[in-house]
Amino acid sequence: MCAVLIDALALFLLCMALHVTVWRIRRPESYRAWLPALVAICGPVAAVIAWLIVPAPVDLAAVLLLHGALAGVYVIGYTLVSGFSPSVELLKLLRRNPEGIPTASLRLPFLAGALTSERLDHLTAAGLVQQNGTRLELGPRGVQMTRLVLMYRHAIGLRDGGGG
Amino acid sequence: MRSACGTVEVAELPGLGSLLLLLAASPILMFAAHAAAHRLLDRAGARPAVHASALVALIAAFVPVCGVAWRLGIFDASQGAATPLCAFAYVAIVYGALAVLYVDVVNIAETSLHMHLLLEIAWSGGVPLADLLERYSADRMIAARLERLTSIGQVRIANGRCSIANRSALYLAGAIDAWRVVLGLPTTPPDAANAPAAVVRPAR
Repeated sequence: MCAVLIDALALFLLCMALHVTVWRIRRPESYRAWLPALVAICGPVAAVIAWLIVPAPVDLAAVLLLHGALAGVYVIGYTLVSGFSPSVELLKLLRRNPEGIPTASLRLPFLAGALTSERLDHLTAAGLVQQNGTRLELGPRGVQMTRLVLMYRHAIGLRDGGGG
Repeated sequence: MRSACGTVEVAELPGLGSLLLLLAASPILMFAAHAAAHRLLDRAGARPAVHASALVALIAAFVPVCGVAWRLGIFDASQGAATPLCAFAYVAIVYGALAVLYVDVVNIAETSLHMHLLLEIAWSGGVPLADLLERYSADRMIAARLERLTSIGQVRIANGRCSIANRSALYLAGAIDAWRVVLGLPTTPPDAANAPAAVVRPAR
């Protein structure tokens, strides 16, 4: 079991080293570039390396499960690295002002136009929303996606109208 | 060329295949435990936040996972103390990573800006565009974040002024900034770097 643990952690660290190397040579700027790059490094490339170093099928599956779980967390969490969280930037702003800031004065410049028409255009292009006159309605894909999320929310016991 | 030194390991751990199936299926257990925990806490009058009930459920679901792993003989100490320790570390890391992925699902359903926008439209059957832009303005987003940060003890508000109450999230932010430096990414949003004077707006 120790060999499986060490192999899996080493595989994950190797993928991180590859990730840093690729980013240092040519950093992908947009989501459409970095997501496939990360998935390729942590997916097929890692699987081939694991297949070469771990011969037994069950051990290979164990190594890939641990690596895959860590890589999944990293790939999803990478949005925190590539983008900026309003909550974290708010905390950093308060750290820079130890005497405190009047609540009514708080402002994060990078949030200006958080929901701009550009973002709505992206949602429209993806078929998630559609404009009907001055109103915004769900598009066909938006209906499917909200149905899925609402099923999950209702299964957990969350009431409609909450969150955000 | 592939080595053959792992074959002995498989013979020594006959329960490993079952453990992998158990761990791969554990998100279903997390989901069921979350649904049960949220309803139980709600009925007990605790009015739980979805993340709080998820945390309770994720900790509770880890107990049966460890129990089944123990029954499978994964933590057998007959081959030395290192084997059960490595086995527990393996189970804990995989379960922990899957738990974080589960929390990501909770975030999508509860706090994601885009998803919440779609849900608002679904709940109301359509929303005037102007209302939506006002509802998701920077001021509203800051107010919502401030409320959440206060409720989890990161920020305190006293006499109309807010300040840092706990630095744990900032330590995590420091680690993320360090990783950004390693990757060659900027550590501040472009607008914040260009407009320091605009960071704090005069009080109304």
